[in-house]
Amino acid sequence: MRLCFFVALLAFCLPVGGLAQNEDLTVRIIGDKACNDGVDNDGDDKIDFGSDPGCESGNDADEYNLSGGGGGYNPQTVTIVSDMSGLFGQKKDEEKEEVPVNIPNSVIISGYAYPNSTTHLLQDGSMVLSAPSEEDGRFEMRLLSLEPRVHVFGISAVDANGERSILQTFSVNVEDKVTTVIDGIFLPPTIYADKLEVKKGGNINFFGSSVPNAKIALTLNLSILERESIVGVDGKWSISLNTSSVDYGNHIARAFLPKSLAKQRYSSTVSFLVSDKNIFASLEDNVTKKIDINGDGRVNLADFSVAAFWYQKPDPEKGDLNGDRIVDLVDMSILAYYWTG
Amino acid sequence: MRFLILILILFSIASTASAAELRLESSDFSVKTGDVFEVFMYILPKEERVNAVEGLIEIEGSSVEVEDITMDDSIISAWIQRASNDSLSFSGIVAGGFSGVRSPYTSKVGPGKILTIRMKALSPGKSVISISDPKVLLADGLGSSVSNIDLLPVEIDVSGVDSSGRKLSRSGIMSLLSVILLLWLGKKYIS
Repeated sequence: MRLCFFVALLAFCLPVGGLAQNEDLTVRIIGDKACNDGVDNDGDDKIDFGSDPGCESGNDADEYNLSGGGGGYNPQTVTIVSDMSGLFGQKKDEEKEEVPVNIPNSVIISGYAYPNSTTHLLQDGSMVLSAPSEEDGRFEMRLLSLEPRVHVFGISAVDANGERSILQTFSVNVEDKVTTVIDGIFLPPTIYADKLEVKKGGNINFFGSSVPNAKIALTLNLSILERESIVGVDGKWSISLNTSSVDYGNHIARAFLPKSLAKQRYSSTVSFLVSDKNIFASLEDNVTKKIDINGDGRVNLADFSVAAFWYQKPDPEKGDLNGDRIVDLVDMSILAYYWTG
Repeated sequence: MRFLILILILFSIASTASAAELRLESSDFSVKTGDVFEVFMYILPKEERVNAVEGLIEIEGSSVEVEDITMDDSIISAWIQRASNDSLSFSGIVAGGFSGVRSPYTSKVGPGKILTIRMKALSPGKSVISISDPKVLLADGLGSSVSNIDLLPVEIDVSGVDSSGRKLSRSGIMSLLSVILLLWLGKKYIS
């Protein structure tokens, strides 16, 4: 029995030390290299033409087995996202993907944002593309003529109230002469609170936007609250919290997608005070605007420049985002977290 | 038995803490006097997303010197302090955060390049290039520090033969002279 306990404890400990796999993005390529690249592209332990039955010749563009009689790709074998079913309140129908046309050195980035919102794409820190999302929140963007190397991409969306989501970034090795497809992106929710100050025992309402039909939950001071809600088909969500059991003083709340494997599914934070009176909040009372040092509605290199000016200087006039009277790496980290480009 | 339990508990606590790896890799582990080579600095977050890094590059030994430091293909989006020949301190941020480089058809992630140090081998000997005073911050909106940073330095072994293969180091010349002297003495003794 003791041995079993120790084995179980060890098994619990070991997986934590693995490589970072904190997001469930899938990255794949479509192009003319797969059957002549020395790589097992389809994971069947067979490599290239001559070994992999999915290769008709060395020029075959993929190692996937051909569908009966037809040429080209077999869409059934090109899965895109593995864990989506757990994310939604209702299981989504299995998606049937149309294989995109290969445009060499291009990247297709797709996923889910808020319905009918505008999604913005950053490449290596600069905004390069904006596109609307569909009614179900789905978005897709394609970048052309990329240099084959590691690129850092960032995606954010603007909700109906004009608030940007937390930027979701990923670094991807873009290969030469192929189309790189990055899918499985879920943008974090936005969050607002209806009160800046709430009378102890009263309710405070949190609301915002997220992926339609997704389960959403709250953290209060980094502890997860038990209640969950389902995001409406319009992408809007709300959760009410009674403050009877919440202590007097300042608190912070965040929204997140509890069924998600990814770590970066948290909204920005909203803060509120539990006291003896109610003070209602406006939509402008959100965190991003406090981080926006120069007040231009964005958090980008201009704000970084101001913060860098005051870096490590005594009594900084600007850039001290955590209020410790010095601009240091912590403030820069907070700035990077709320970066909009 | 209690000791074993304590070790397991401590191990489980350590393994749940945030961690990242700062690694230096050389384009050549063994170089010759006069050679120019590159040392790459990489970061690999484990489990958590990071968005700020700083540190100081240290060179132990005088057999190599820094020629140039470049930020080509770096994952850093904005530099607070760029390392240079004059100052080997560096600090920068990654807008939105970094959780490793993804490649097609694998769930594993690779490290991201921070900077490249172009170096020149000056004289025979060993030099160790390492990072001191490292700080890596989590992309959590609070600037929390990564609690466990693994530092992987790189050792460069400079040999005395230059890239053309004609010159020998001082110790090499002494060795050669010793061999000639021994051969001459041996020949004289035998005759």
